[in-house]
Amino acid sequence: MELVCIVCPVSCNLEVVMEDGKIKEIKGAGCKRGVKYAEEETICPKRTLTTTIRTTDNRMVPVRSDKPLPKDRVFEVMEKINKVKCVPPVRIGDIILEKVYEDVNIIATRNIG
Amino acid sequence: MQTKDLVIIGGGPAGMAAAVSAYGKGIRDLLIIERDESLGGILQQCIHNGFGLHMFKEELTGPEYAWRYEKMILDLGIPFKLNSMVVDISKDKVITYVNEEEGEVKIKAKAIILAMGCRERSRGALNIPGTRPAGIYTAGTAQKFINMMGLMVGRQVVILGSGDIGLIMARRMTLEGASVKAVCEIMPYSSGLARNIVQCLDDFNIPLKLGHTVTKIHGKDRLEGVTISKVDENRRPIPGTEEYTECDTLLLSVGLIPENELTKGMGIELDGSTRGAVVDQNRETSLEGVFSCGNVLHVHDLVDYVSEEAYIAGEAAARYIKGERVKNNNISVTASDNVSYVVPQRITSDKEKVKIYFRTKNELDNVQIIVSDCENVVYKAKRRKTKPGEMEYVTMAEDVLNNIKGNEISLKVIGE
Ligand SMILES: Cc1cc2nc3c(=O)[nH]c(=O)nc-3n(C[C@H](O)[C@H](O)[C@H](O)COP(=O)(O)OP(=O)(O)OC[C@H]3O[C@@H](n4cnc5c(N)ncnc54)[C@H](O)[C@@H]3O)c2cc1C
Ligand code: SF4
Repeated sequence: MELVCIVCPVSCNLEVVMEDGKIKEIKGAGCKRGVKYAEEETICPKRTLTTTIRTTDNRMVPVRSDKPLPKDRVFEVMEKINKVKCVPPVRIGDIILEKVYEDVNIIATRNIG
Repeated sequence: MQTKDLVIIGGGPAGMAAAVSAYGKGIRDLLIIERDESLGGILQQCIHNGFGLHMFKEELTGPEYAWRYEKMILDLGIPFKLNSMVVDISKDKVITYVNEEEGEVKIKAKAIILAMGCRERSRGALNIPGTRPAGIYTAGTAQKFINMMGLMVGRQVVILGSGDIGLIMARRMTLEGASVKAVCEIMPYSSGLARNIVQCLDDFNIPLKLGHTVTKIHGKDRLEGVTISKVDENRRPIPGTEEYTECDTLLLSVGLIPENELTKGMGIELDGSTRGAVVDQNRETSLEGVFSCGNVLHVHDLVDYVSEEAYIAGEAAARYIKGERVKNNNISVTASDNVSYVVPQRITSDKEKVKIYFRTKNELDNVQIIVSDCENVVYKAKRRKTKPGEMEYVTMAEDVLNNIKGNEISLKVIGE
């Protein structure tokens, strides 16, 4: 299987060699994180989600998931996020929504005074 | 008139990093002037992650990256003015800015760092035939509307141009419930990062139409659809390949242009390829004591390189102010075969190694990079692959610089 590593902008071309439904070898990774990515991408692809949440006084707080989420859960989590508003002030790193999926939290990425 | 040792125009990542680095070299009488209501520049609207891998060895979002520098500025107590627009800079370094409280203010500076960033090419520069309905935005404008103002710009979207901002916006609009019908790219390759094609298009099954462009715009008041055509190898639409696609929104992601109106006003020499100033290894322009860095100098794909360049400019400005800047050389650097531009375009000292940044014109494999003076090859390097969308660099050590004959070197690239 051919993959492009998305962990960093180098975008290495990875090749995952499978044998009997298991990963035998991962070629082309420029670093260890690429190997981990290829493993995950083969078993359960994950992505960091970034979006915004509105404050009660109608400003936008940029947020992200503090860990990568399974790719097929992204829209589910978006729905949860779009249902809430948060009360300012918000500090960078504050948890805005707890445990949106398993142990993944949604955190603020900017101070909104 | 007020005076300052150093005034920095623009409080984006370039301006902030330049200020931090000049401060680190002992400059205390400095000021950042920013027209927006906060520091951070364009990063504040780039809410996605992928910033800072080189600088901080972490994957940050745009606002998080901006905050790292904003915090340094606040902790060091570096002064900045917000909501203040620089409207003129004279050749003798008098800066005029305007804001609501103070009206028009003039400051005379010993040194200036230009860090005004870039703006997007808009449709005017593109000339697509058809009507001029509402619903056509540059990708960056749409990014600002959605991420900063919380306004959704449309429901059915076509994106023209596959630069990173367009790819990021394809995903952003999809997450917010829009249907992105296609991303059209006139070239046979995308100028965006491969990682963005995977995580912004492939993840959502958004088609990337390489070698296609929008040839007509339909709709009276609001956009109703576009005609998409295939192009030939000369980028001319092929008759008979037209396809109509219904959409209420067209996003243009067709490139960025350094914002150099102020630079032009000062009579500074510009480079026709980068559309930024011609600079030496210190990022000093043709006007002594005026430096330029970040996207105003040339368009960077990674903010990490913007910060790196700003450090160079900040330190050099500090040396200039303290009278410690050395100029003992004047070698011009030119782009040759397959190279679209080089920065810096001049080397004025052989005391320190110099990194020459460049972009190639085409996607190439098994690449050889060759730097020659009037007689010999002075430097050679290899790369597995180069892409126009990804900036490259070579580092020329002091001994290489010392051995250059004549006053010109050229950089060329050979590949398959
Ligand atoms: C729409 C858009 C989206 C982008 N998205 C990405 C991305 O996703 N990832 C990435 O790595 N890079 C992205 N870039 C590139 C990004 O711009 C650079 O990585 C980086 O932000 C450039 O930093 P800068 O400080 O040079 O410019 P900017 O961030 O543009 O900052 C320039 C600052 O100067 C201020 N300014 C300009 N003129 C004046 C004036 N006359 N008076 C006072 N202040 C002034 C502006 O308000 C601004 O704050 C994007 C660029 C654009 C235009
Ligand atoms: S393998 Fe390592 S170097 Fe290559 S893209 Fe992935 S993270 Fe970057």
